[in-house]
Amino acid sequence: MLTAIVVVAAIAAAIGVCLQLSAARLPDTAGSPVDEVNALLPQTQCAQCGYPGCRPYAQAIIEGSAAIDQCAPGGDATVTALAKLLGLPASTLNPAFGIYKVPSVAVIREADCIGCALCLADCPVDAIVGAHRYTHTVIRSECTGCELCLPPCPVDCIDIVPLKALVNKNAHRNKAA
Amino acid sequence: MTAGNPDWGIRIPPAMKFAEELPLLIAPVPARLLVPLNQAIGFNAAALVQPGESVKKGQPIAASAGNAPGAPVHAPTSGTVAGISIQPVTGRGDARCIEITADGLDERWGGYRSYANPLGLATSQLRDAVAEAGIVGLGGAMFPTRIKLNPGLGVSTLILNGAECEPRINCDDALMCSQPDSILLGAQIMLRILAADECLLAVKEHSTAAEHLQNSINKLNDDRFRLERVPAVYPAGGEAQLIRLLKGIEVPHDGLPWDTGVICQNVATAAALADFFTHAEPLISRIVTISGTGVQRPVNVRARIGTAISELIECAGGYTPAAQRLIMGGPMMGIALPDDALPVTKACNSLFVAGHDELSAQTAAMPCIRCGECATACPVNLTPQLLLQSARAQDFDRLETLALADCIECGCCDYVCPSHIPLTQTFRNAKHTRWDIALEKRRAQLAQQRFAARTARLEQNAQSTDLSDIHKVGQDELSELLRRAGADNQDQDS
Repeated sequence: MLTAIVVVAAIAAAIGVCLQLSAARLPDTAGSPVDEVNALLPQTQCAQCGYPGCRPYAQAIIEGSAAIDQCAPGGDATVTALAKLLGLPASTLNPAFGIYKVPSVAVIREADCIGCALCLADCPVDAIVGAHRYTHTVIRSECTGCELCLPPCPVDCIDIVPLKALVNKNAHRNKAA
Repeated sequence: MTAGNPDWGIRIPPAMKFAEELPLLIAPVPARLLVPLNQAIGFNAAALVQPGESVKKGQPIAASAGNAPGAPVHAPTSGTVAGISIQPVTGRGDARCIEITADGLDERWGGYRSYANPLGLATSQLRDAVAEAGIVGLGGAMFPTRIKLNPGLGVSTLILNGAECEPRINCDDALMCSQPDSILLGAQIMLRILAADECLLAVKEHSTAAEHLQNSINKLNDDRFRLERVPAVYPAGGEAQLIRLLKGIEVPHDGLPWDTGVICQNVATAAALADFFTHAEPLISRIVTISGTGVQRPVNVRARIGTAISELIECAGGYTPAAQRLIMGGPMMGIALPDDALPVTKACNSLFVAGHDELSAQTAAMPCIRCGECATACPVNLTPQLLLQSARAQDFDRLETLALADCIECGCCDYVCPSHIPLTQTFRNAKHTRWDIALEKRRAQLAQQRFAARTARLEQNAQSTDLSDIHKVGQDELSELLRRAGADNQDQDS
């Protein structure tokens, strides 16, 4: 009886040591939990969740200081995906952090732009091109539609336009010969 | 020779007469042409002319920039450029179009010359000519022929596709009856460019065009040519399906047809190439089949690119009271058009004006009964019933496994489905959703990278302002100087 217990305990200890060693030595292939959460966020970097960007919000979720229902641009789909990943009960977007809007981009009405360069500093993805006393423009393919450029604009020359209205949906349709 | 009967696809009763019985007309040159500049992969060629400029028939008016996979566009007749604008075009939303007001003279541009014996030219010259002539795949894909004739690897077989599997399209049949010699000359030029060993001419079984082609082949006495009769199965005329039928090779799922050493070209593409050499005429016209009980008398008509569809309907005697829907292409894969003012493009092979009797009654979709008919009919060996499940569940991982991307949207599964489920439409939507998701993902990745780069830059800036010690020293020195200056002033005052 005693022998059996000792043998089983010894095997368990040996396996435990092996697991500990491999966990310490082998590279972490799964990626950090923060990265996993971050991958589900829409990367608009809009800060509507109360954190300065998507990654800081992901960090806060993992640390437990933020709820998963704070991402307005991601909408209910992102909340569901986060709940699934983290094993939390399903919920919907908390309207206190904004409402879901269709993917959009900022468009500068160039005739009205006075070239003040105030919006440049606030763009989280450097998608606005411009310099003092030159008309600014938005690089459409890089804009996330976060709306952070709206408050600093002194002449309100920036519109938020749904992406669907700008993209030709059939552009990638390619019929077989 | 007849290729074997495939175990896929559908046999549709030949509702349409063959070309012998359909007159081939030449459409009159309209007073106003709207020449679309859109290219196969969704971008526009750049205009070479300005509004107000006068152009001659066959003059290049637009070219695609750099390495973009496009082909030049030529003026279909002589006249004046009235304007360049974004206009709705068939199939692809909007495109840039050049509007030409015809002067009625139809004067030829002198920039191209004809050759008595184009086969004597060097292959490099032939290649240049293919690019110059604005030739694209006339089967409906508009893929630039110059690219397809430059596969970068050995090609043994050229297939000339005249199979026209879709019911009610017979513009290629009409061409094979009227211009078999041009088709063969075009094929000889292509064979020379590709250095291929054989050329298979695929013609639908029972088509009378086969006799005309056979006669021309006999006259030519070129043993590289062989006529192949393709069973009247839809979609036997699809590029990959035709290669599989005639050569027994399957185009790999992640590859291109030319990976199999076979290149497929439409017969009209070959004829257009021959016309450029013999008549110095670039691609400015094509044959369009106008059919359906919605028009007075179905015809084949050779129309200039840019002619309004309404003018072609006039060639067919106008609409009948039964006309219900205008479709570009055939009844299986065609696209319903919202308007008949749209211009004819290089891709427009057929206009099908469906009457009441030709439209199936709208039947509500019933549940899938898992009969498996769709899987039998599918020409690319997919399992539409499983795809449907996954598409409804928006399970994109499973759709990937089931090879949704390989669906050619031929509509066979819809045709055989006893429950009238709109399968193809569901798959098309799922493909679009998949593209949207992929696009979203790419945008998110880009935003993430740019945000990280910006954060790093701001940190760096913050660090460099930590050098404010120097600044502070400056401040101290300044106040010291001021103090001393003040002291000096006081000294002077005293």
